[in-house]
Amino acid sequence: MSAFNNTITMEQGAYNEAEIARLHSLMNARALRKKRIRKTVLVAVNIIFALFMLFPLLYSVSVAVMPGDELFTMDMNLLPQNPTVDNFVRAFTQVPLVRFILNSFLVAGCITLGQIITCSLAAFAFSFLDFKGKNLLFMLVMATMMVPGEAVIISNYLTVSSLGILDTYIVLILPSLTSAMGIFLFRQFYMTFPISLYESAKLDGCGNLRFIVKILIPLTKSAIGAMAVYTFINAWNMYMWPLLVTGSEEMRTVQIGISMLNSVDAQSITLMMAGVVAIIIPSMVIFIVGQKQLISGMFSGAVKG
Amino acid sequence: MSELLLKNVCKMYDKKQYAVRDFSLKIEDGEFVIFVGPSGCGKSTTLRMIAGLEEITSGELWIDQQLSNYVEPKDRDLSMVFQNYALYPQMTIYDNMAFSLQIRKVPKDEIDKRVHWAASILGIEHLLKQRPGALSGGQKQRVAIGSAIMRKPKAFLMDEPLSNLDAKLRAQMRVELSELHKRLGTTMIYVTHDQTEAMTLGTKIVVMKDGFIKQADTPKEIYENPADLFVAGFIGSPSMNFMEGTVRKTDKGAEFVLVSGQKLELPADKANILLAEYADKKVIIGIRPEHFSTVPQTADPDADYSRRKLSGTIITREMLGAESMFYLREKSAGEYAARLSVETPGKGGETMSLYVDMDEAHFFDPATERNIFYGGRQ
Amino acid sequence: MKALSEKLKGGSSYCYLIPCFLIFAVFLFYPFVKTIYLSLFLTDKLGQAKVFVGARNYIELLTSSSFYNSLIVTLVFVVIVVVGSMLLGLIGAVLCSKAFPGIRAFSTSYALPMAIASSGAAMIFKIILNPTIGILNKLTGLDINWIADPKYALICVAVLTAWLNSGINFLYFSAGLGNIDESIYERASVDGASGIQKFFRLTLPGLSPIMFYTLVVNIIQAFQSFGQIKILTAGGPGESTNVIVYSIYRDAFFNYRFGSAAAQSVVLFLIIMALTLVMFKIEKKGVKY
Repeated sequence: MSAFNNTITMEQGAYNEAEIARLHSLMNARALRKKRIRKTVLVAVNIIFALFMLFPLLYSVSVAVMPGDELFTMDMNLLPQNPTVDNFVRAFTQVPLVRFILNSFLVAGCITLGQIITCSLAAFAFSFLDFKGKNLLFMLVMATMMVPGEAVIISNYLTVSSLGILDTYIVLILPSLTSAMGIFLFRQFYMTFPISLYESAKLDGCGNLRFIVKILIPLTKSAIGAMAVYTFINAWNMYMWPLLVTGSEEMRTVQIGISMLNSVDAQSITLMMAGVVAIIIPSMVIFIVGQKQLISGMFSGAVKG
Repeated sequence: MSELLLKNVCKMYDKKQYAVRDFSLKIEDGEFVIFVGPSGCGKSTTLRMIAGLEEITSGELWIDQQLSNYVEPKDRDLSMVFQNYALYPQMTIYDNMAFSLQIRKVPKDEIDKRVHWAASILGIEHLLKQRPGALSGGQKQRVAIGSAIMRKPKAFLMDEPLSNLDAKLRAQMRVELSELHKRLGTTMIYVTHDQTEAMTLGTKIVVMKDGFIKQADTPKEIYENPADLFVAGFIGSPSMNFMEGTVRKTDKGAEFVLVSGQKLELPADKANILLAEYADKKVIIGIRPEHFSTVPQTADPDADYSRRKLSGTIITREMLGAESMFYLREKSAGEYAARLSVETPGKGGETMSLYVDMDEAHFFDPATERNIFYGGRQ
Repeated sequence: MKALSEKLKGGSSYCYLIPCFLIFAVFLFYPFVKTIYLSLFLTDKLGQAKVFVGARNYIELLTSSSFYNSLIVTLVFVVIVVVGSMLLGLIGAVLCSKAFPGIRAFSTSYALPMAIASSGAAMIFKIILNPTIGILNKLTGLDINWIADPKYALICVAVLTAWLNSGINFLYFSAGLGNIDESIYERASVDGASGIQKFFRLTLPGLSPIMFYTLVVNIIQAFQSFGQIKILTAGGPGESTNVIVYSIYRDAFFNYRFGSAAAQSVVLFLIIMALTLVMFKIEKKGVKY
């Protein structure tokens, strides 16, 4: 009949009790082994794939702690023989990495906070209030998602240079203070609340701003968390805009500052990797810490619809 | 020809919690078996073990004389209907029904024939081009059943298939399922928590609680001869009335005395056994609501009907159409229900005295909860 | 009286939109219009529109082989990036769809590339791909100058970008897999389907709605890649990695041809808009729910 690899079929009654018991334990062992093999294979494949995906990162860490002379050989040098933190020390002393990191934190922090405020205000209006042209305005917001930042970056550069705010924090922060995606995400979230939530708050004499601060924000913590992680990482990793609008060393963000290491001199590759690792760490830590928040916030309603 | 045999099947989670214990049952070809019990009693787990979706911790599962504990679900040749229908959302209804045959590489025209055959039985031919999302609950249910019967499997497994339907549809589908079973003659194993479904559909009912089989028998036997307090209370709506009392010897035979002092004469055949083992001991009497009446039953010519009466205060009454359900309170035994003719006078607050059909009364041991007369002792 | 207060109430609604629309107006709507305007002019070194030339910038673009090269490079780049990043994300998501010990660590590593900056990643790849000391040549035993060879440079930046973009795809696909009802797999097992049949008949179709969304996002994102190209290849060697966005940057900030760069920006916008609209059209026809 249906005799497949791990299956033993037998005619009922053709065997005695002891034989059934023996077969039983035999098959049990086989099934258990098959299950174990499946699990082992799954874990093994995962380990291989994870190594593959993480290889650039792992390798960068390895190079970052490698003495310079170890890198410059024709031999296989996946791992450093004599790990050293010297590269980090030199990276931090040769370029103002600390300053860059602080700049980036300031810029990314302000952008994150600003986006949360502007986006939640706009999303509140789009989901709870009624006004003329609401749908049209919302469509307009959604349409901005289609405009690639690079397509308007020249005009923006010309605008800010004519305003004379080049090379300031303001110019780094201002253009990113709102995002269509944030408005969309918050609105998706707010739409899951019944309008009666707003109406009953109104009846209790709760003003709009109070409603947002006291009711809406506490209820949408997960969306705010997701938004914060996502925005912060993107702001931290911004490249083209800071490249164009910052000139002086003091204003550089990490992504631009790190390319300075790139051009110091050819011998300092290990130094450069130390710098890269140092600036990747903050965004990575924020991502790992906020990952759960990010996933639950981004996918609990936003994607399904 | 297909026959299922479960021998001492157990399911344990986390090496300590039994979900199913010592489940032994023989299911003959063509039977309509119902697993019924409260939620968490292990009925669904048992069904899923038969399907191969859960591992059997210990015990044996024989399908058609084949020891099948470790056979992959796909090789068991069973088909299953899930509670949430489990239709493939991206496929049309036609493909949903054809799926199990398509993957078996059955020729296209044969599949086509069978889809139309199954669809016509269930009256869903007009839906074949639609997708599950566009269907109502009742239609999805039909599609799920249609997909199951496509393959002419050894047995159909159904896991609470009607529980997501509204009451009217449920009644209608019940009739259809019953007809379907008669028509196909295939073994069906059906899980439900609804005792009405169990009573109307099954040729054999398996009442489960806490992982154990409490009783497995025909609906009639289960209703008329419940094995214990749980089965007696679970099967039947409204439930059987239970009252505690003592068995006492009288000059004529024996009587059942409630705590409040009301007495009910015991029929002669039962009196002997009860006196032998339970004289002056606590016993629980179980009386179904339909075994109360305003006129004495005349099956037993020797009975003294005046001594088979129970009085209580009417709490309320409910109209059920041809009959009325009276809810009464006895001083010590608490509330009980009686099904009487709709013309019966009486309203809330009044005292009412009713004849009890003592031949139909059940007696339970308060300690073991077993039916004292279960298993041919009467 | 009542009408007036109604009006006022409606008016106050707009207050909540002011902050975001102010930003949009200054940094999106205005520059968008200005870009179109600039694309019709010759500009000076400071980007001031000097001479109205009508469609000349566009005509020049459409007749320049460099622009066509840039279009083709962009297209090849986008295809490799989108296919690669979606494949990587899908593999990760499928590998993490069943629980096993350590799943949290693995899923974090598959999502991690989304936290990496393009500049940092490009610098890492620069070392990995280095012809003499690079680990890639050492591991594979090849002797290829990856970045300096026009044959490989585009593939290198594309693979790097695919890796960077795969993290978010992993999250999308994981969410998509989580949305597939577990019981349809059980029914398929009982129906007789094998693991492979289940994957192709249930899992992939089950992912199709999220697949579409992910595809759109990925294409738009791939078109906008810049940092990694600037650092890794700077559009070279020759013009083999000169994607449109890099070409815009080069024309505007090296050649000071703002008008031509603006015209390219408009073309870039039109391409993305057209692609988005076409895909939404297809989706309306294709995926039925």
